[in-house]
Amino acid sequence: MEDFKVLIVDDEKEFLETIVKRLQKRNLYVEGVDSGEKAVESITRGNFDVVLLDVKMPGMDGVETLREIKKLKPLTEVVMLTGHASVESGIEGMKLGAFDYLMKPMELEQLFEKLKDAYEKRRLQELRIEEAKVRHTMMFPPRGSA
Amino acid sequence: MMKKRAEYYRKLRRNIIIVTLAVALVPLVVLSWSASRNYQKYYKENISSGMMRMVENRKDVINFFLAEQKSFLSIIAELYGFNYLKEQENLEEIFKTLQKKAALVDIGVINRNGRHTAYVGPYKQIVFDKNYREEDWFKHVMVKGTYISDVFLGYRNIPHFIIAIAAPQREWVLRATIDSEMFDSLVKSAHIGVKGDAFIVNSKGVLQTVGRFGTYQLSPEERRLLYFHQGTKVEELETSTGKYLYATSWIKDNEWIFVVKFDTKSELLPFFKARRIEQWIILFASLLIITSAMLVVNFLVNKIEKADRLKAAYDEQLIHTEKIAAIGRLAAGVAHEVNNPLAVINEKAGWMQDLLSEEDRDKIKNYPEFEDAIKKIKLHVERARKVTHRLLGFSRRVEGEKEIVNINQLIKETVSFLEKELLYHKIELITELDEYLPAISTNSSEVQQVFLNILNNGIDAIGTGGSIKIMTTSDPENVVVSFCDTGHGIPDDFIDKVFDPFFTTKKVGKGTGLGLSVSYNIIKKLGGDIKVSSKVGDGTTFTIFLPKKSKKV
Repeated sequence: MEDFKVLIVDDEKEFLETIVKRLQKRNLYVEGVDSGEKAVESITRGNFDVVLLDVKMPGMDGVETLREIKKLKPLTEVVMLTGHASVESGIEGMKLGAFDYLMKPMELEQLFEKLKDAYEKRRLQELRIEEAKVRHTMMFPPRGSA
Repeated sequence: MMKKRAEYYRKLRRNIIIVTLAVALVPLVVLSWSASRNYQKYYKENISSGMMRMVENRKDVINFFLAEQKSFLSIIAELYGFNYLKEQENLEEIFKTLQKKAALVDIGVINRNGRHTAYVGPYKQIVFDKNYREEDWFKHVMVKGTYISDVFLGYRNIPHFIIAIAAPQREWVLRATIDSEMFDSLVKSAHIGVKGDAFIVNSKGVLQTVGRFGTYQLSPEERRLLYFHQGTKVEELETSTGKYLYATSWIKDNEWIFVVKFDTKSELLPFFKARRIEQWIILFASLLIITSAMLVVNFLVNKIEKADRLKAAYDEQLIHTEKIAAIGRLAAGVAHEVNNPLAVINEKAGWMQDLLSEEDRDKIKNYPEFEDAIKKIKLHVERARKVTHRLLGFSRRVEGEKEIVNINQLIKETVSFLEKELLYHKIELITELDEYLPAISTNSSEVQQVFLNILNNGIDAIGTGGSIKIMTTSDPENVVVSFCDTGHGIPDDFIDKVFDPFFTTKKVGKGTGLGLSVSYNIIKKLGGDIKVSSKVGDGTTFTIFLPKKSKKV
């Protein structure tokens, strides 16, 4: 299992802090931010594989942030996190390209599995892109390199 | 509340009836009243003008009669002269001829001293002894030349009147007695109507002719007619014997008044009879109108009442649904608010667990206690999570949202609510559920309500001892659920009404009559159908069809 980079976005600071610490303890590269705006900033800057995104936040909410992330880095996988009845918003998120959703409170192991699955998906996708690139180069070799 | 409603409908009923009756009856009554009044007026006017004509006409006849009598005497006086007429035999000769033409009783010749020189008639003895010189009439005739007396009984005790003329030089007088009877009949024939009368009265109110019904005395009211006026006048008087119309005209140099009397009441008898019949017709028509108005209004108000009750029931149901939905929204809010702190607690406990696992078990005195406490925290967080998630599920259901429902699962859940009840009633429950029944998108709480309604009806129908069989199958379009009970069944007369609101065969207070109606509406709303078949004594089967593919609304 390779290491991968996770960004956690939640306005509930206590929750954010703890979950970051716990995931770090499990040897994951984790960063946490407490708003949608900050999340967009971090994504632009760093190279995150998976984002855990709370749906309901003041300011820029989960769904909006998700749209922005997908615009900036389409390959980033997003897991939605909701404390609300709105399974719908989770589902809506999935329609917009989120990998899956989780309802608060959840077991850390469950979360960990979800994040791994999301990363796996991203990895496979990257692999396919790589393969496609290779196929392309083999069919149309760049001039002067053959 | 019920009392208030009843009061309202009673008032409504009363007001509509009053308005309807007013609109229908007032014109009827006014019309008949005015028609009768106008007719009566017209009739009276007609009679008055008839009487007027009659009086004018008769007046001429009477005047002519009197003038004729006078001219007879004048002609005789002029023709024969005193010297001839004073002889008894000559007068007798003339009287014989005259009697054939004129209505004379007797005739006499009187000299200027007031003594008869000749007389023909039945009262020879009485007349010859009499001297008239001091009599008023004799003086009058000697001055004016002619005289017609009032009617009087005279020495002969028979009603008669006399006509006298004096010779131009006032040397002698020719006097004759006129037959009253003939004059009477001349006057009497002027009457109009069966009970009408005609007579002549002098200015003192003494009757000059005998009326049609024997001797007649003017009543005090009738005396009011004795005032002088020009021409002919018609007026109505109310006397002690009734209402009469009087046409009056003065005759004979304003000494006599000619009266034609008309009995309004008896002459109008046919009219009153017709009016009586008309009144009966109106009464009958009114009764008819009143009865039909009552019936129609009753019918309408009952309809309105029923419609209102129905609306109230639906409103109540709607309010109930909205209330539940509000509770649902509240629950969702609470669940959300609780979930966030729960998540924090959960993570904190998890963190503690993570950290604790790194410690040396033997160095910490209460290690097992800590471990246990963290486990308990996590356990109870899990417990609380279950509650909040259930709340969220509940709120989703009452919001009327469709979800994927496994009907078999729903039936099992519904039946579990009724287990005790079934046991108590000794009812056996048989389920034949299709394992491969597809899940469908529908509103589970509403469908569950329908299942509950039908099962409850089944239990009520069975009473004690029997069975209810629930089967699920599917056809190409629907999931089919049937409930067969072994209850008393529904009579054919009622089978079409079971889904009507307020239709119930249960005892008063037991059923609202809304259960099946509501069930029917729910299933129809979900795009399905519900059917019933029953046989009295064998039981009833309700079959519910729920579409596999929910129709887009």
